[in-house]
Amino acid sequence: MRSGELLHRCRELAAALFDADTPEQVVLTGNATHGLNIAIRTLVKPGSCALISGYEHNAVTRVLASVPNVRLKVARFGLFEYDAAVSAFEQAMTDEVDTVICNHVSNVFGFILPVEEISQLCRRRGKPLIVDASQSAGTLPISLKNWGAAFIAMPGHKGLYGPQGTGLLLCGVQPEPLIFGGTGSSSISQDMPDFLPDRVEAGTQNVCGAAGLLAGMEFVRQKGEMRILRHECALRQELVRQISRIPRIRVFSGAHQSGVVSFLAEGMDVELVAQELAKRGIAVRAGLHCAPMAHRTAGTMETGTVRISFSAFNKPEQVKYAANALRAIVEKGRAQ
Amino acid sequence: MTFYLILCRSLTHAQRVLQALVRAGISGQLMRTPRNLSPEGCGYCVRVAEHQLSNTLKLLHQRGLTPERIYIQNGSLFSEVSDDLP
Repeated sequence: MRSGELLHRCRELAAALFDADTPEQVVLTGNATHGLNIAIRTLVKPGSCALISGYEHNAVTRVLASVPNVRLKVARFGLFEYDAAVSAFEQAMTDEVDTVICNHVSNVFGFILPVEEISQLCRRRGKPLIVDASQSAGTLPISLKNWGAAFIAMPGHKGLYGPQGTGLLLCGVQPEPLIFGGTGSSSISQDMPDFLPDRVEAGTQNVCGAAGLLAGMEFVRQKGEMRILRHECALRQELVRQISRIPRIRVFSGAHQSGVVSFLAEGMDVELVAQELAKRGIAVRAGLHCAPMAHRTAGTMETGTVRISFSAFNKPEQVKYAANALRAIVEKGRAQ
Repeated sequence: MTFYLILCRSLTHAQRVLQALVRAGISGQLMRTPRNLSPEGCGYCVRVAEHQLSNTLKLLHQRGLTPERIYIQNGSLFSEVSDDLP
């Protein structure tokens, strides 16, 4: 019973943070990908048409590719072009579109997409919306109610500061089960329960993970999402200012950007740059970030990028350290 | 002592019922539904004392937390009652 209480506290806090009417609408998942699989498999039927942005992660595109004969429409707009993104979705959201799927923030570039405006378009045109909030949960306001979204998926281990292997799916509509099995309820029936969260939570729950996620969400609530966002953006802006001065460093920066930034050191492989940064205690992610579509859209498919992502725990002195380290790596690399 | 069992459709539903009661100063106990009261199989319920049933039902209706069924418990005997009681 005590572990059940903990799971309930986790759902309640998530419902409060993300503006869901009831804790039943909060499904505990293994990660954002798990939640996106449930959401996409529920709404995107074989032969139907899905509209996505050009910045989606494989957690969306591979799931769509697994549904037979799905017709994919891509709303195309440039990096950090917020108003163009609204126009592109408006133009592409034609009658043939059955489902709209969009990430809130690009995991590669930190580009904040106009989800609020897209959700309004979806409501006006009667299209269900799935939001991938993997890179925004914990730093940007998210409202299941105001957005009227069908589903919002997020991981526990990024901006919610929970352990890896945790995630949340917020349900605005009834999902279809992805995994079948015991739920501790209606055991005689051989159908999955028709009520949430049991309908999509078969099997033993990751209670230890949920305890960590709960602690992480309490931290976010105590600090405040906007305060965390301001802190991360201030660090990102300072890093951009410092590394933009390094010759032949190309930084991807613009308005409507979160605490995530990608860059390239021209003439150097991104993985080698990341390795050198790791040697100096700086953990970054290089390559395609499981988002080839985003790189294709931004024109970085051939090279990939190095991504630096800030958290509430980073400090200004670490920005300076990282910028100096990058300068040294680039100078050394070019001298060789 | 006489108790009433408020049967709930899920653990989460039962947790919400218990929380609403606790916040209103009504004591209750979350427990597994006795097997013979649960034709669907496993379930959860919240047990309240007889004198708290009226306030409990009023509160649950206000909160939209409709009970699945309600049973009166006398020792090891259970009888279903209507939710507009008393």
